[in-house]
Amino acid sequence: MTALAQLLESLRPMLSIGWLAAALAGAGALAGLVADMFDSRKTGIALVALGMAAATVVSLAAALLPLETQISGISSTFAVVLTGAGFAGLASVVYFTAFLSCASGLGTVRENIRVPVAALIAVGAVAGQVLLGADDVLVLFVALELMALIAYALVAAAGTNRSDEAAIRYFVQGSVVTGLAVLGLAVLIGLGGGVSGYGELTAAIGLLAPGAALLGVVLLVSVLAFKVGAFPFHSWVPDAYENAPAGAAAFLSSGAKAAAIGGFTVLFARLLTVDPFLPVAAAVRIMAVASILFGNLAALRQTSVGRMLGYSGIAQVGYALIGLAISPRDTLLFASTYAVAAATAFVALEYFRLAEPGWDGSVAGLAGYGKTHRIAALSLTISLLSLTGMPLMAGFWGKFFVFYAAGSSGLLWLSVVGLIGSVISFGYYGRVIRSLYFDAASAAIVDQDEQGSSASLPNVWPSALGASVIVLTGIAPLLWGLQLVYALFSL
Amino acid sequence: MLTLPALILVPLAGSLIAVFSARRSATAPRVVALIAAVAEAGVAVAALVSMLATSGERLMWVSGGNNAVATSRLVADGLSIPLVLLTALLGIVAVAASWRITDRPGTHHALLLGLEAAVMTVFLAGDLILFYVAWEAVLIPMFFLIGGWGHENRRHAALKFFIYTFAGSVLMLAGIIAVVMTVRSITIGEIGNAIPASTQMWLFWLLAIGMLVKIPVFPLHTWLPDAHVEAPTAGSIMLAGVLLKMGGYGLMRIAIPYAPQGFQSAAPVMAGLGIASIVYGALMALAQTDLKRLVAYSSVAHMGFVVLAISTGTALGYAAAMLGMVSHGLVAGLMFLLVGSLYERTHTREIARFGGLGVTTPRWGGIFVFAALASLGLPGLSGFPGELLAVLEGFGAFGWWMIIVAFGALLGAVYNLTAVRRVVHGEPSTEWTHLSDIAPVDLAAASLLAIGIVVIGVTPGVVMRLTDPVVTVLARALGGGS
Repeated sequence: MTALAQLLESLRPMLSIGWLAAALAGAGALAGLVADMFDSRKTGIALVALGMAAATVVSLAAALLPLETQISGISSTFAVVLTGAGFAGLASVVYFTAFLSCASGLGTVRENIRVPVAALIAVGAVAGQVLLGADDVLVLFVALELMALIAYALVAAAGTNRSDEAAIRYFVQGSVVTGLAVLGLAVLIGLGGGVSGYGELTAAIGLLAPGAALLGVVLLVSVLAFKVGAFPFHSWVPDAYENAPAGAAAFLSSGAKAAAIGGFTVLFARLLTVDPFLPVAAAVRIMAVASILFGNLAALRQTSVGRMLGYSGIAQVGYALIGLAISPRDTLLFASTYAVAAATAFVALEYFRLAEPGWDGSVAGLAGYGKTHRIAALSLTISLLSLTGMPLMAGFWGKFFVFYAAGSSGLLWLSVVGLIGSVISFGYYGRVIRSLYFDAASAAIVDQDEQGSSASLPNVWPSALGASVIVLTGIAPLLWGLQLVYALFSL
Repeated sequence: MLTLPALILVPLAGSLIAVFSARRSATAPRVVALIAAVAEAGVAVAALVSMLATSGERLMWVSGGNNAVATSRLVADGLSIPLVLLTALLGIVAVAASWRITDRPGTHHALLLGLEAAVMTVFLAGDLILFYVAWEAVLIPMFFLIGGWGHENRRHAALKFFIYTFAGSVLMLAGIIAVVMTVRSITIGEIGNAIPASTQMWLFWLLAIGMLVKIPVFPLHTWLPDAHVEAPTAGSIMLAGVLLKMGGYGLMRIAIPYAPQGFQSAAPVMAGLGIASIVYGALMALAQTDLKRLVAYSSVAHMGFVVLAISTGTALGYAAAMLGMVSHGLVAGLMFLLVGSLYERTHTREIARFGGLGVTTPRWGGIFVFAALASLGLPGLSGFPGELLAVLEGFGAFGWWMIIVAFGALLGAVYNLTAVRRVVHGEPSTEWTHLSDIAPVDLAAASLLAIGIVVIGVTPGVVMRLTDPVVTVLARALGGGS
C-alpha cells in the first residue's frame, strides 16, 4: 500500500494541470497534421488553432486558480515541466499569440506546408511553456534550441528567395550562438560540480572564485542577447521579421520572444543576485540602454512596416532587459503586453497582405486602408499605440511597471531613457497610423479594391480579438485595481 | 457621489452611440453628440449644486466602494469644478462648431466626446495613475481630430503635436514614479514620507515640464501654432479652451504640492517664463498675417498670465490663475469659433484679404469686436479680473518686473485692436460683398460663451467663491499662505 501511495505521489506533478496545456496543444498539432494528410488544410489549421485556444484557456485558468501548490518544494500555482516553477500567466500569453498566429490562416505561407507550419507554431508554443517552466539549465537549453529550430523554419516558410536567405543567415548566426551556449553551460555546470538545477547551481557557483564562472555567465548573457534580439546581437531580427510570412512572424516576434525573455528572467533572477555576477547586471543594463537607443533610432529610418517592427522589437527588448535584473514579475508582465501587441500587429499585417495583394509592405503603401479595411486598421492602430505605451492600452502597464521597478531600485535614469525611447517610438508607429488614416489612397489601390471585393477576404477577427484583449486589459486595472495583474505574473 | 463617474461615462456613452448612429443617417451623430454634451453640462451643474449644497469642500467617489484595495478615485473640489464646468460648456460649443461636418461625422463626434471624457477624467482624477492615464489618453482623440479633419498641413501637425506633448508628459511620468516611490501612495495629496528638499529641486521640474509644455510657456510652445492652425474648429476650441488648462491645473494640483520647496526655488524662473510668454505671445500675435495663428499666439500670452499667477504661490495668485484659465477658455473658445465660422464661408484666414466685415456681416463683426475686447482685458469682461489680479500678486512677489507685464498687456490691446481694425473696419473688400452672416448654430454657441464672459467679468466672485477654500489650503501648505 505504501508503495502505491508513493507511486501516486511521484505521479502527482505529472498529473497536475501543467501538463494539460502542453498536451492539448500537442494534440491539436497532431490532429491538424492528420487532417492535412486528407488534404483538408483549413480543417487542419483550425484544429491546431483549437488546440492553442484550449491551451490558452487552461493555462489562464491555472494562473488564476491556484490548483496545485507546493510541488517539489517550490511554491507555485502551476507546474510546467517536471522541474517547474511556473509562469502560467505568461504561458497563456504565449499560447494566445500562437493561437492568433494560426487563426490568421497563415495565408502568406506556401500553400502545401501551411498545416505543418501551424503545427510547428504549436510545438513552438509548447517549447515556450517548457522554457518558462524550466528550473534547470539543461531543460532551458533544450527548449531554447527547439524554439530556435522552429524559428528558422518559420522564417523560411514564405518560400521566397528572400525568406530563404534570411532563414539561412539566421540559422548560421544561430549555430554560432548554440556553440556559445554549450560552452557557457559546460563552464557553469563543470564549475558547479555537475549540478544543473537553478537553485543548486547558483548555490554551488556562489561559493567559487568569480573568474571562470563569470566567463560562463557572460557567455549566457550573449546567448540571451541573441535569442531575444538585443543589441549588439540583433542583426537577424529585422531581416527575419520582414521576410518571414507575416502570420508566422506574429508568433516569432511575440510568443517565442516573450518565452525567451521569461526563461532567461528566471535564470538571471537567480544568477545575477550572486555577488561576483553583479557587474553582469550592469552589463545587462548597458545592453538595455543600447537596444533602446539603437532600436528606436534605426526604426525611425525604415520604410517597410515589417522591418520597422523588427527594429522596434529590438527597442522593446531593451525595455524588458531594464526589468530583467531588477524585477522578474514586471519583466514578465512587460513581455506579455509586448507579445500580445506584436502578435496583433503582425496578424493585421497578414490580413493586409492577403486582402491587398498589391501592397508592397511599405508604410506609405498603407495609405487609405483606414477607410477600406476599418477593423484591421483599427486593430493595427491599437497594437501600435500599445507598443508605444499609451495609457488605456495593455502596453502602458507593462512599461509603467518596468520603469517603476527601475525607479524604485534607484535607477530612475534608466526609466528616463526608456521613456524617451517611447517618445521616439511614436515617430515611427505614428507614421503608420498617419498613413492608415490621414493619407488618401492612391487611385490604383482604390481600383484594385473594387475589383477584389468579390473575392473572399481573409480572417480579420484574429487581429480584432488581439486588439480587444489589449484594450480590455489596458482598462481593467483602472477599474478593478492591479490585483489581477499581480495574480497573473507573480513568481 | 455618482455625479463624478457620470461626468466621465456620459460623454463616453455618447461617443459609442455616435459611432453607431452614423449608420442610420449622416446627421444623427451630431444630434447624439449635442444631446450627450448638453446632458454632460447638466451633470456638471448637478455636481456644482451638490457641492454647494453640502457646503463640503470636495466631492469624492471611489471605485468599488470605500475599501482600501480599490485604486481609482475621483475627486472634485474648487480647483476642478470651474474647469469641469468650462469643459462641459465648451463641449457643447465644440459640437455646435462641427455641426456642418460631412466627412465621417460619426467618428468625428465620437472623438470629440471621447476627448471630453478624457479631459474630465484629468480634472477629476484622485490618484496619480488615473491622472497620468487620462492626461495621455487626451492625446489619442486629439491626434486623430487634427490628423483626420484638419487643414492642409494636418499630417505633419498631428504628429508634431503628439510627439511634443508626449515628450513632456513622459518626463512627468518619471516625476510621478519618483513621487510614488518616495511617498508610497498614489492618492493625490496624501504625502506620507516627505520628499527630501534636494530631490524636490529636480523633481519639481520633472513634474512641471509636461505641464509647461501643455500650457505652453515660451520656449516650449512651438507645437501650439501648428496644432491650432491645422486643427478643425472644434479641435481648436477644445485645444485652446480646455487642453491648455490641464497644464495650469496640473501645476497647482500635482507639481507644486508634491515639491513645494522645489517650487519655491523655481518660482522666479517660472515667473520669468510666464512674463516671457506674455510679451512673446503678444509680439508674435502682432506679426501674424493668418487670423487663426494670431489667436493661437494670443493663447500663449494669456496663459503666460496664468503661469505668472501660479508662480506667486499665494492664494490670490491661485485664484487669479483659475479666473484667468476659465476666462481664457471662454474667450479663446469664442475666438476660434468665430475664425472657424469665417473660414468655413471664405476658405481663407488671411487677414489682409478681409476688411469691412462689420458692414458685410454685422453680427459676426459685432461678436468679433466683443471677443477682441474680452481678450485685451476690458474691465467688465472676463479677461480683466484674472489678469489684473495676476499682475497685482506678481507685483507683491516679484516687484517691478511687472512693468514688463504691463507692457505685454499693452501689446495685447494693440494686436487685438489691430485685428479688429483690419478685419471688421475699413473698406469692405469687394471679394466678400455677398458673404452670408454667421450661421444660427454658431450664433447660439457664441452667445452662450458671451454670456459666460460677461457674467465672470461682472462678478468674478462666482469663480473665486468656488476656488477659495482649496486655494487657501494649497497656499498655506506652501508656507505662510500670504
